[in-house]
Amino acid sequence: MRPSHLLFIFLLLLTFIDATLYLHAKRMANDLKTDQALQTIAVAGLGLTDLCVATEARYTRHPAVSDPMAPFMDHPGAIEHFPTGSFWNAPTNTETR
Amino acid sequence: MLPKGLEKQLNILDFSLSSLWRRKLKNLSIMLVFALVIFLLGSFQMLTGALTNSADAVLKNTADITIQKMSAGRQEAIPLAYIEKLHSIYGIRAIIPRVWGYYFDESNLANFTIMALDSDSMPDGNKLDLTLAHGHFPKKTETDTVVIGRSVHNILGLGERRIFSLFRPDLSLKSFNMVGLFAQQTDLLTNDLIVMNLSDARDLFNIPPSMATDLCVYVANPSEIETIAKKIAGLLPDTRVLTKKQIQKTYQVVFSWRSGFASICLLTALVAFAILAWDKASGLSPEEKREIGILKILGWETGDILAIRFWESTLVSALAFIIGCTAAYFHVAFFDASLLKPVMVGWSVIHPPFKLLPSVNLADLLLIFTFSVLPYLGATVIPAWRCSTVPPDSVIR
Amino acid sequence: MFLNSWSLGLTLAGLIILVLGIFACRTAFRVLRHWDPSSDSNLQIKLENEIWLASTLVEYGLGFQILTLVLFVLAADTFCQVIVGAMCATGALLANDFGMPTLLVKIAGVFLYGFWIVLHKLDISSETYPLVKIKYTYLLLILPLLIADITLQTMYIAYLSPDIITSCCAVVFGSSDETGRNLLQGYSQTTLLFLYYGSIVFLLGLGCILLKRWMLPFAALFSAGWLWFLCLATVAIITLFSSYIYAMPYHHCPFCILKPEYHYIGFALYFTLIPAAFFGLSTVIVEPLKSKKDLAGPVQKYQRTAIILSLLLVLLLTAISSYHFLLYKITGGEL
Repeated sequence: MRPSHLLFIFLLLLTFIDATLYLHAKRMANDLKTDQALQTIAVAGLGLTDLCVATEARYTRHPAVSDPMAPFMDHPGAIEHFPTGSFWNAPTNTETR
Repeated sequence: MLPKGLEKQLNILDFSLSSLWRRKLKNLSIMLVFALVIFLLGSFQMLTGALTNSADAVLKNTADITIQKMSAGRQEAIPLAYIEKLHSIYGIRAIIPRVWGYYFDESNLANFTIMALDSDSMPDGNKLDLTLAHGHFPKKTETDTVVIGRSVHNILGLGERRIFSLFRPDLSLKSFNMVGLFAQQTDLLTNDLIVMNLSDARDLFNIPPSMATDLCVYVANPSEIETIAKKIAGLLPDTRVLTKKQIQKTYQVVFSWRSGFASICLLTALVAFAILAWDKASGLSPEEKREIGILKILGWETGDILAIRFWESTLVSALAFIIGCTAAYFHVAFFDASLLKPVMVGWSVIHPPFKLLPSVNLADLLLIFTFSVLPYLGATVIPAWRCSTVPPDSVIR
Repeated sequence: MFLNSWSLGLTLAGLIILVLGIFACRTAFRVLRHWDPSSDSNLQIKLENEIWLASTLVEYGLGFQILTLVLFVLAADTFCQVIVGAMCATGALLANDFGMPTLLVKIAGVFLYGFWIVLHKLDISSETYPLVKIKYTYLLLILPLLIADITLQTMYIAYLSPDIITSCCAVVFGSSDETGRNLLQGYSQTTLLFLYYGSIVFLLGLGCILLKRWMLPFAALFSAGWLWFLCLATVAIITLFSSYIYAMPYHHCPFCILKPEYHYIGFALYFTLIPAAFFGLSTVIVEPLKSKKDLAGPVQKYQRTAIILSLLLVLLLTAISSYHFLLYKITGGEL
């Protein structure tokens, strides 16, 4: 057997795996749609503004409603020390202070 | 039969495959390291993309305008009297005060979000019971009742019990009766929530009845949101006015910066990898030199040897790319992005179960391709040329 | 706005292309100075080897350039999410003065590198490398374009700030009269349609004649026709076909068709149009090379291939661009 045939078989296998994953993504998107319908109800009914991803600091739990200064306001000269703070950017609400 | 040009390329492909295989330990390890770098890059891109997408899909129903009172650079409680001031603005449909805040549970070191509002007056407020796994939302008349998120339920260790208590600021206990539990489907939003009545939250946080945390404003005509927000900001100069659009935009900004930060970190890894690739490709062993010399004596042209090298680096990088991206998908879709999660949640005690659809689109794949395969190809092209121009006589000597 | 994965990716790709280009130009410089086909000195043998390096580098550069072109448009499409007022790539590109020039320079770059590779292929088809001097002078002339490309791109990214208010494609390419900021206006749809399909038929006819009998004036006309068709097709895609693809009469935008919602049909359109135009244009450009020693044969062969390729691609383009249009006409709009 030529080495290139082996390669093609391997590529075929990868294509097969990726095609399966594509189908999985399609199905998952469908599942998520029902979840998201519920989530939108929760957002509307409770007026939620943020995803619950990091709960350690209020400015990463609710980045949408906290201001850029929030990480540094605990005391004068405070440094921001939460790990997520180094990854989460403050929203640019420049128009509204 | 195959056309002649294709047949030639196929033969060259065969040759480069077997020459890759001859040094399989070296080439496979390079491919795996490369795949690992691509895997990390891809996971980041897919995870942040997925979070942005869900934020996009879910947050479209958030309040039109949110008003917070600012004092000395901090957000503080807003007097309910402000609602009266806003009645003069035409076009506002409803103003709903909310009391919300964080409750730090010292025994478990967990941070809960406590949310209290009159849900009957909210849009979709009557449908809210659909978001619960069981139970119902506290009615106005039911005092000391709450609905909690699943993680709160776990961390408090409630099990079958329904009664638990939280501390007021003066350390007196206030007990609550759990009347509902949020469904698993809404975990992405409600995982750490404790929802209660306005009066209970005021009691718990010791906020006077004339105050609220912020005001949600609903506007009759969505195209007037900006104008009304400006009017509110004019009427209440000591407040911060957030519009729906700004809130929705937050997650674009938060993660686009974040993935930028991540790309800088990963870029360093990539540069190191490119140097490795350069080193590997340029350090010609005497064996390789001999091989190329013999091929040249057999009548191979420089272009043919370049084609072999091209195939070799393309094969290594393309396979690494496909494997890395596939693995990244598995990582995000089936393993909850468990390698990146610690970075995302930091010291949080409440770990959100990420049920996320990895965002895979042409644009992201192309971006990952640019970050990974391009530097590799660029780093191997000159060494490839250098080794293809070995003079044939150098071997015989 | 550098701290963004797209900006970083673009800059990285730009730098790689620039490095490849500089290496290629170093070779070009040496070849131009020391090239002497009659000599068999060590230097000449070294240079003959370096020719391979330069050509490989430019081939890689072309591949990367095509990639960055796509990447640039996609990046603009992503930037629009953070720029106030922009809703697709148009807005992001118009957010400052450098967006559109960068795009144009990048497209021009694809054509110019392509021509270099054609020159190179013709050159190595002969034993004596008759085009060496022309080829490398040309390569040195490309370098400023390359530098302009990366400079413009960097300026674009640097001056892009999320606070700028820009206009979306509905304003720029829209047809309402009040805005007064209309880019393409005054083409009647039927005239445009007639011109578009007329040009295709004209090019096909001319190509077939040329394949039967080679006539220089016709060839010149053919290439000129392609230049005209390239502009016309772009206009037609923007003002005519795009709205059928979107199924919205007032949405004309050359970039939104690249989105997954429309099954990436834009890529199919542009990736047939641009190569077709490239091959069409190059037929007459290589004509003067026929006078060089033993190049007449390869040039003629190339011209035939180029004409056939451009005709096949234009047929493909017609099919792709008409698909939504015909679908609309036949089914009456509903998909």
